[in-house]
Amino acid sequence: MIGTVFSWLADHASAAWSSPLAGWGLAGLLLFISLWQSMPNGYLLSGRRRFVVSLIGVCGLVLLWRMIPTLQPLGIRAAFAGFATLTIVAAVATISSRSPVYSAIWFALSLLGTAGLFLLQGAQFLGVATVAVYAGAIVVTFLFVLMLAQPEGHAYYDRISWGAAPRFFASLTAVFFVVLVVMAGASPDVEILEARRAERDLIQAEIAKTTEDATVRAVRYLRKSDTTKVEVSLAPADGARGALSEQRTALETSILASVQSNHPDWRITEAAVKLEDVQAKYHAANLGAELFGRQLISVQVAGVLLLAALVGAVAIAARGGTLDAEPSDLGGIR
Amino acid sequence: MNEISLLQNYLLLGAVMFGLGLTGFLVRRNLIVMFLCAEMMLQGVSLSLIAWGRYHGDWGGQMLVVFIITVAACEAGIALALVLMLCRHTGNLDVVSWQQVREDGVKAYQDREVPEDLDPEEHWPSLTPAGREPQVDPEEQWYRSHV
Repeated sequence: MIGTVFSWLADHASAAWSSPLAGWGLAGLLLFISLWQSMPNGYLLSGRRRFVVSLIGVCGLVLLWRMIPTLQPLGIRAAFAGFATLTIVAAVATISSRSPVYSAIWFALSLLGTAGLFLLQGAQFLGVATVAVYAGAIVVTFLFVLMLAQPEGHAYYDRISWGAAPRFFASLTAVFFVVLVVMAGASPDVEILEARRAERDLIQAEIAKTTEDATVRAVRYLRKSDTTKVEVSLAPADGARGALSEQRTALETSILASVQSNHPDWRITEAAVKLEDVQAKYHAANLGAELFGRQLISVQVAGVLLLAALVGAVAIAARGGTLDAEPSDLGGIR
Repeated sequence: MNEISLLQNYLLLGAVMFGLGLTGFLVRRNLIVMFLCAEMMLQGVSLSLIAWGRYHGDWGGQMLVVFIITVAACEAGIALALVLMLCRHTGNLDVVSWQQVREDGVKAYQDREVPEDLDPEEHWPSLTPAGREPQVDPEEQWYRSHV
């Protein structure tokens, strides 16, 4: 009797262990324990306990990253691992530091890691802007207010937070969210991706009849009510941009012909070739052209928003001064 | 498949950043740390947007991140002015100080855990006395100390 129960358990345990759900569950459990224990709970973590908790967290993260395909060139993988480690370690330290000043400084370090990740993606302007605007201006303003409001360092409410139950459930919610994202993202729809890749290869072959100097980066279909426009981003080879612009019409005609045979049921009426893509040279110039071209109105709206925020901040700060002081205390200044 | 793995790595990292910011926002009670955690959630979203933009070969992701940075700057300006005003009224940065704005019938929050500061006592370095103690002239003391 007991033997049958044991063999049944062993069968099912091995089946569960080999399924990917066990990996997700284990990674989520390790991450949850580590995050839950590293939140401030009124007691200082001893050095040994802190080591164990961070080791559990690292194991969880490694397990999580085993679920998705690795980055292929070793250099990119090493750079990504370095920046990602910096970002995550600094982020954990931000939310678990007892002293808010340390939190702000760790957050600045985390922003440096994020800026490195932006650079790795080719977003040079945003990497620099993150360092300049976030780490340079916002975090410094945070520190300024912190020094003004809480000059004595950390207080008891930084050491105990909200108590045991919110700590438990908040960590659980966050880890559940992350594991859900991995479960959704770890198994992309391979058929769709393969079809898209095949289509890109087809267009590349079609273009190669006209010129050898262009690589297809992305193909986009802009559907209207009954017609479709195809937009192809091309990366020109060095010094071939001028030649490619002259051949633009021929390229568009050949692209139109090749995609029409691929999608016979769509009425594809127009093809456009874009030579300025995200990974092109002169990144900042291209970004500026997009920002002040297609997004011009958004830029104006953002400018108005900044002005309104400036006026609002000044109004709030000035009014805060007169609220707790009687008007007579101000010597007639209203 | 390198582009897809790049996208997946960045999406996972963005989710981790968002989750950490979410935890911090829910757990911490200090107003300023809560705002830092909100900014951290925005960083997670920015990472995902940049990854999608690169994947599609499109400027949309980076444009959105530019505007996220703008909105974050506005948010930080207004939030810090508000925090300063709140802090002037209560004298601390604790969210619990503002729990009188809760609805009727909701119980007041009370700290269950006794906040203990287990910081080890500070040890200042002590030097072994050497030589003899200098004689201090009490007449000179009052002005020498002001030099």
